[in-house]
Amino acid sequence: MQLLDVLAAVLVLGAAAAFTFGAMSLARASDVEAIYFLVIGVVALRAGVQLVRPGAGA
Amino acid sequence: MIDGTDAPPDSSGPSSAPASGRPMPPRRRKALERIASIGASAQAAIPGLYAWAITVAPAAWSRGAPLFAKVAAIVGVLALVTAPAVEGADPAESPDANGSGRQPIEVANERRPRLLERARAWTGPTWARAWSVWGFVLSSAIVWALVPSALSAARLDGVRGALGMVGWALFAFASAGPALRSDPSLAGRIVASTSLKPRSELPRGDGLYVAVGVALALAMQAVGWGVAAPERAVLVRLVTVVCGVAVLGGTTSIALARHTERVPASRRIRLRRALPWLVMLALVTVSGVVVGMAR
Repeated sequence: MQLLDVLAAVLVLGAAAAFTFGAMSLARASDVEAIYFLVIGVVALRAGVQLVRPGAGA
Repeated sequence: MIDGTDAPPDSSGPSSAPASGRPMPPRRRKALERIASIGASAQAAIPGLYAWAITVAPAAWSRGAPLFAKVAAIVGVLALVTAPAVEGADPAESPDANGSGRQPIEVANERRPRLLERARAWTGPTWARAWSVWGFVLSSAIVWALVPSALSAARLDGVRGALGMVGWALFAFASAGPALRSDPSLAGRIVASTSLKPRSELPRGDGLYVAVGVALALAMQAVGWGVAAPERAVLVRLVTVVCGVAVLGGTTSIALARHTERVPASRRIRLRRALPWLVMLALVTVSGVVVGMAR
């Protein structure tokens, strides 16, 4: 397992945590905070998946 | 009684081995044989449990229901769940509960007026059917009699009542009809051939990735159950489900990327491909921290 794979796993775990915080904020009716965390989750998840994607194409 | 038990497994026939031609492991074969021998009471238990959950359990556990109603409701579930065990307890004497396959000695016993003799002539499926149908119906009737207000129009939702009726109708249909069994002619259609070879061997460890993804997705579902406003509660549920699916997709993508046979990308290409997302992540995170500190 390479360092980038570990980073990808950390990013996916961070995305899950961000999603959880976003859902908790949504339940507290803190909409701006929820959107912030959900955006962080989406971006972190996308970055993690892009890191492990095989193939030479971009 | 047509319960599938009268079709003995033929170890020499094509049904004893999968289509790949490889012999099936004995334990797996035994488990499949046990599943195939499930009788009518087991098939009736599924709609019975559904009907119980919709029409009996809410009444037994409604406000003000006596303890005996709960006990009766539990007895009903036990009747449904244990009936398949009763049915399978005597497979050698279970030719047909409808009477079409009964032995002459059993027919002779029926003519005797003595109740004990008739009870002794009952086979496992007959006992299972009596226990399943009467145990479940009587316990449900006791629950409804003890909590009559639970079935009033004011407390029973119309859709739920209709679904309960469907459940009871399915239970009655499954209890009255013979058990569904596999078509014996299907065994003749299986063509024995050489072993099927997988295109690639999956390395170990994929299950761990999927398990972590499922655990994360399930953990998200624990959030937001105490929201009072219905609209926001539905929104929270929707968001958590979508987020759980996304995380599950991410973990499975990582698992699949471990053993792909395509050309692996170099570290530089992978980093360059993920760089815009990493920069965006850093920007969003830092901006959020700055805004939070400025407040």
